[in-house]
Amino acid sequence: MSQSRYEYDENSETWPYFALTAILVPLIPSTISIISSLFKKSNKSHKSSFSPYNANYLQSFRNSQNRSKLFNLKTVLTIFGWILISGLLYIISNTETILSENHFDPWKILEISENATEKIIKTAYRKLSLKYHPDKVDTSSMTQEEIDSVDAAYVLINKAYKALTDETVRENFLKYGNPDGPVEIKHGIALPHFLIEGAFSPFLVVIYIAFIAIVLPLLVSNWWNGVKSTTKNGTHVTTADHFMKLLINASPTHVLLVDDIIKQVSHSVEYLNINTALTPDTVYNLIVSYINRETCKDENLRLNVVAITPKLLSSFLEIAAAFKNTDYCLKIVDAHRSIIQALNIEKDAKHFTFKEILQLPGVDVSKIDTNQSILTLGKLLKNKTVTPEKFLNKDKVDTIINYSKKIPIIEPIECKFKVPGEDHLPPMSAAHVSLKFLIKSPAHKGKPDFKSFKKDVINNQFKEEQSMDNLKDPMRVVNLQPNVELLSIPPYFPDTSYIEQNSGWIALLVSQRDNKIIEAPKILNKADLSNINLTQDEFMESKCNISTFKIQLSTPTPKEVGVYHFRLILRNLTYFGSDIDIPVVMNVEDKPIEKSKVDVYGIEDPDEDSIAGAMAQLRGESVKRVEFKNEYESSDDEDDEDNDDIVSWTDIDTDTEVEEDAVDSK
Amino acid sequence: MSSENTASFAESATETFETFTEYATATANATGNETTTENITKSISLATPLLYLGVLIFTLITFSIYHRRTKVHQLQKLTSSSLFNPEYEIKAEDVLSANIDTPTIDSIPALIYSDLKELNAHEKMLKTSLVQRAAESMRRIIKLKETEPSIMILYTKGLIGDDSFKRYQMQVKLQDAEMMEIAKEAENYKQGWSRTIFPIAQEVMMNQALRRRINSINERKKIMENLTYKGVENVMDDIKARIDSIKINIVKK
Repeated sequence: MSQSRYEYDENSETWPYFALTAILVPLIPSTISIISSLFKKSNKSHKSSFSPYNANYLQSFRNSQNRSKLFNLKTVLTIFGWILISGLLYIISNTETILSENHFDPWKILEISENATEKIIKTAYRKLSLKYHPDKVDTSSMTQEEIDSVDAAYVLINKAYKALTDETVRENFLKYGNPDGPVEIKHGIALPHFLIEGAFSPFLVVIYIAFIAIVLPLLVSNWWNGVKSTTKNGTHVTTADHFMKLLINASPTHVLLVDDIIKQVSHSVEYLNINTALTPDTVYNLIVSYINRETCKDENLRLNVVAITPKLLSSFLEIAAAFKNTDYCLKIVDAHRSIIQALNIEKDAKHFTFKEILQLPGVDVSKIDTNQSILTLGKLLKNKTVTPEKFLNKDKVDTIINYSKKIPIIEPIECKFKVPGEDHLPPMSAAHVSLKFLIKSPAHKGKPDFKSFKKDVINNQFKEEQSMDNLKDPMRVVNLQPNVELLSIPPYFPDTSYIEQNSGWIALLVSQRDNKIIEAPKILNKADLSNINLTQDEFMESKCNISTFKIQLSTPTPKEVGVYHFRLILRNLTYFGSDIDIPVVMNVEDKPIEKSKVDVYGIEDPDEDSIAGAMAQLRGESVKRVEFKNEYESSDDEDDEDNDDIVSWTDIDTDTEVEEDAVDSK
Repeated sequence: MSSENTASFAESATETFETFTEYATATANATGNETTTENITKSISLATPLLYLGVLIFTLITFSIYHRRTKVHQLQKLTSSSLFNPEYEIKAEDVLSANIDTPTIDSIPALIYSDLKELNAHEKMLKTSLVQRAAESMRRIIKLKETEPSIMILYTKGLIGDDSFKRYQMQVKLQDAEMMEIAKEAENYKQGWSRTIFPIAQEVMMNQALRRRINSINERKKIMENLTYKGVENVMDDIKARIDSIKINIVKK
């Protein structure tokens, strides 16, 4: 072993390059991510004139969050990495590359430049061979070694000359870098000799053993334990297990409230990471006092607890959706919004009915005139019975009005099942739900006439281009849209970056037959929000852009031909009053029909003064559903066949007393 | 005879071993550069392989005992909390002292039944209690069947841990064992009852479920009223009146 054929890196030629590569591979991505995060943050700054009661604490929480984002271990390591890189570059630039004697460079040997002509080569060769020819050199006073070196030099000169003139030798040289033909591949170790065979070799062995026997197993076991103790969506397995048990035991008799959800989520073990002394009860009390907007002794702790709760709720939602439990899902979204808005919607009926108004910053529940039936944002901005000043009992309401104008509302245009490349739904095909909608401000009245849309909007945004890309991946159109960026950030929730990243609507596809979720929840977070800034006239003249949302169904359409009814539930994750329920009909047909059916179940917004609007107000958030039922009634005349189906499912859909009232009142 | 045999075998073994070591040293001498001709031939006693075997078997046994223990411990840990009623926690010492012969120690009807049995209660009482126990078992089996696809989805998506999934599978097995236990108990009272007790238990279960729903109606109504009506009567009445007027208009049309 010790008389090895290996070459060592005595002159530190190789190892700096090796180290450079090893450091740069992780360093460059981390640097890019740090720089991009810096740029991302500087783009946004949300300032509102309203400051909540705990503004100081909120500000310090956000500041510490930003600081921890900037000065964390990652940044320190990255900076250290770059220092190392500069050191290595310095070493590399200072070491002369000494080529080994095996390296063959004919031009250098002949002491000529690389673009020398044949003539120059010949003269140089002659000159050198005269000088080094064994017969010409006086070897009498030389040792054997010196004589050998002279011989070697002469052989080299000959070789070099041949390499530049002889055809075959030249070819060999160009191909293998050596005039003698292919050379044996050499193996080297990028370490200096003394580390391997000198006094330092035990040191190296210790390093190797430490790496293989201690560091590597530790890293792997750490990773494995991490994988085992957290689920795919990042929650602890104990928390996930807790949520699973809750859903196995979900009782249909119990009226699920936001309070229950908070109580259940307070058992999560994630809270122990904040403070090991936190019991579920204290967590529950902290969250409840936060959504009641009460002051608290340990405000910092409370903000920390509150800040992680929405994440836990979203993993709860995913588990609830796997159990197809619509009630749980909807309530979890309600709890999510309650926490984001710091609004206890179930404190009493006042909070519940006026929740859309109460979420606006600076609105005080004790001051608003609860005799006015201004329950929705639209009512506040459009068909007001009294002035907002009077209703809210405030002098300056401009900021509140501006804030509420920027809350995005979905105005559906068309919603149906589609199979790419088909104009009907064949059985057993991979369909998706396609929703075409406008994002509008609550201040916009009605919806623009379909004919008034711009031509390119209709052609590009409403009708999708039938290109190969679109047919192959129906989601492409959705993904090309910009992200939903909220124009007004709720003031109470401490973690603003969470709100920014998780703004949008959660979409649940529910079967009308048994009110069960049939598709995992998707988030609608890509849409064109430019319509919000349009004036009412511009909106009606339709300078609007149409957005698209799709849910790819994981199961194929049913085998049997028939009409299946579903409901697409969209719930905003941040605001109250921006929800919508849209009935979707899956009409599975076997044969292609010549004329594609016009969407008879067109969707219209309930007029605030109509029966639908009134009922919608009675029922709070499920504004649009009642409207759709009316739509169905009117559509019955056109399509008698579907009549029975529609009646059967509208009757089933009576979950609560209030909804029953709404249906009865028709 | 046999001792001779082993002795000769051992002898031949040592011989071969010796020749081998000789050969080894010879080759070492031939190939090695250093010319140390120290003879390393050494006879090894018979105890060595036996010791080796002993150590091997000892380690294997220790490992298997340890492994079994941890496995049992893990299972105990898994089942320590009930899957069905998270609010109800059973303490291990309570269960052990009561000497209960049910696989599902978190089922209250099963506990009641075994308590009654211990007290030598009247047969009628025991029978009713057994039906109740079967009904609870049925409810759980149906629940488990119902949630099976959801659990599978969660597990394949990685949204729950391995332990949760194992816990679920274990509960299915426990519930099957409980059914067997109930059937055995039923057979003790009357031959052939094990075949009819389960349909009866199913009816009892359905009845209980229905009752739970009916009983909750008032409570639900109260909660909804508190949430949507109390305190905002003016607004709600106003809206209701408007709806009524519109309704009348529609009827007139």
